[in-house]
Amino acid sequence: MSGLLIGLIVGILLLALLALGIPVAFALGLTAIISVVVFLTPAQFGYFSEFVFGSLNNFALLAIPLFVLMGAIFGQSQASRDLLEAAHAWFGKLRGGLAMSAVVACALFAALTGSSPATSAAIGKVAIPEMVRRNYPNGVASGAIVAGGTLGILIPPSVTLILYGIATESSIGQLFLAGVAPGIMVTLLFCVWIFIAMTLASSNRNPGLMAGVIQSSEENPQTTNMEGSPEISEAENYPWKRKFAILVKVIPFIILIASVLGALYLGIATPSEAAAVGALLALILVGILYGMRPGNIMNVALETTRTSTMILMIVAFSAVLGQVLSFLNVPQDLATLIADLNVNRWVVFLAMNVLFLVLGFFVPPVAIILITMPVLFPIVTELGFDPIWFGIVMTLNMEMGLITPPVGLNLYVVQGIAPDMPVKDILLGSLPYVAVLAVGIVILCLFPGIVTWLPNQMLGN
Amino acid sequence: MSEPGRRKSLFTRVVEWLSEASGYVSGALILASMLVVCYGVLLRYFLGASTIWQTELAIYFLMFAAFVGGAYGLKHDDHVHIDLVVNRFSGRTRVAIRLFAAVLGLSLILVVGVIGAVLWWETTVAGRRSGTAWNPPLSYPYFIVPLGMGLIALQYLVIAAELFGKLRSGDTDDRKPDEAEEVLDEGRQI
Repeated sequence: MSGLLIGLIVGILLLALLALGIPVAFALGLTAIISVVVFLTPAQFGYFSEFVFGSLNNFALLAIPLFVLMGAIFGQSQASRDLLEAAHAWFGKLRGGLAMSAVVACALFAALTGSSPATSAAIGKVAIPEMVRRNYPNGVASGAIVAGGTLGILIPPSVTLILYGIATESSIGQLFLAGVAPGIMVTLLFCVWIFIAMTLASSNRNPGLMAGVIQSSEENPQTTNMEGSPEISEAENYPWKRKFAILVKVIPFIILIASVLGALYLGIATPSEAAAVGALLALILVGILYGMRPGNIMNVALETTRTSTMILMIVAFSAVLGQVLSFLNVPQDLATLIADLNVNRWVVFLAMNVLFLVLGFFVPPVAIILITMPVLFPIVTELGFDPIWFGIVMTLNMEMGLITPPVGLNLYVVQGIAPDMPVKDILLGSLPYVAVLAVGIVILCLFPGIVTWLPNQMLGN
Repeated sequence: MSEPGRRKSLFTRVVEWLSEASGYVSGALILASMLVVCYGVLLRYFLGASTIWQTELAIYFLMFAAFVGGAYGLKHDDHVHIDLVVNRFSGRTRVAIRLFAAVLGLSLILVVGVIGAVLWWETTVAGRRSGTAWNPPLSYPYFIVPLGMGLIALQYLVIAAELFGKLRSGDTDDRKPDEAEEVLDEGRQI
């Protein structure tokens, strides 16, 4: 049987198991076991547990729980409030300033954690009530958090990029550095859209299209008058003295971010080492700045266990399935087929992105990478795409999946923070960001240097 | 997990206690792995000494947290799954699908657990060691897979039994905790 047919059967089997509601990790494992039984000889069954064991026998994977730990430590502290306040002191004067500050605070928080919903939750808990209080339109308030949170997987450290690095055997350090400039770019693009959305909302144009942006809630009738409550004029005109005073508060975080990235840039620490030191420093920093009880530390550790076991189980079983598929020549045959098609490589690129986008409707980024990369990565290199660049573009694509229903994780997070906000407002306010991210992908295709410049400067490269 | 009023069986309580314990031990080991790696960094970069056991031990802690912590994750419904299709059904059908999925999951875990146990036994009998500078007996790390799978299997049994009970009693109003709040509370998932 050809590898392609086997691949098709295995793919359908996996989808069927996923549809049954079996956890992604176990669905991958079941597919692997069934594939071994059906397509391979029983003798090869014995390898299975060596694979399961071997798949996690990798020091690089340690970066995942440790960066999750680092994020969890900051997540339970008051750091998100300080980050938002600092961003607001500097950007509050602009139109939609608080929403932009929320996005910037998300970007900063993203640099402290590797997870997207964690970023949405941490900043959203502080920023959404504040925006609602200041009469921001529902759509702008929720959209900024849904979209801002997606920066969590683009701006290093990023669990998604770690997994991409492991699945494709690319340098995680380079991937992290590659995410910096696109992360800043996407943050700016998000802010530009907030400005546009606020302008549209205040000029009340296009009421049908902008339904999510326009104020619909009874309690906040003033859409255009942002200076409605006394806090705003006070808060949005921070004197210079206070601007710097607030900045001092976030300097420890900036130093931590800079030292983690700097250690990677200088090549003096592997991502796992940077994660361990970062997590320990985070613990000390949060302990000193905000105070932390021993009970809190255990809670943070338990939370980390829950996230880590979920991700690492998917890693373990997807690695096994990847091995089995490779035995069956599936990726090899598919790569040959695509190469023989002789179509323009950008057509293949587009097709892959459509696939990621569709998968993103249903499964989280972690699973998309681990399911698709063992099969598709040979094609990526075959067509001459830079693996690091492709990883960043793919991450931007998967950020869209965090925004789109039915399984847009960040939508659920915001819905949880603001249960009174109509779901329609959240959706309409968030969906434009999918287009913003698409614009981001196009920019990265036209100017790949945005991605590749910094990692190419990396020392010890 | 079972509805109020009905007392949990001793088996259920023991398994749930084990799953909770697995989470606490895993969490402690993640913290320990952080310290171990930091210690390694300190030795290498600041004292110029070589590290012998730090990297390897940290990896074994990671494996423990992944496989043994899996039972804790299963108890708290953390393993990301797609319930879009399942939720389209109602009442008994939905419970039946859930039960079927649980049985499939349980079978995978049992198979992996048994193969893992065989591998562990062979390793122990042969007295294999990791072959690194530290060179610990592989019997210990190889025990992680069967141990983890055993605990996950027990937790799965409890879940399957509960679903089976619902199916039999016809009490199929299985309200799940609000997913939105779940994600918000922990900010988990990536």
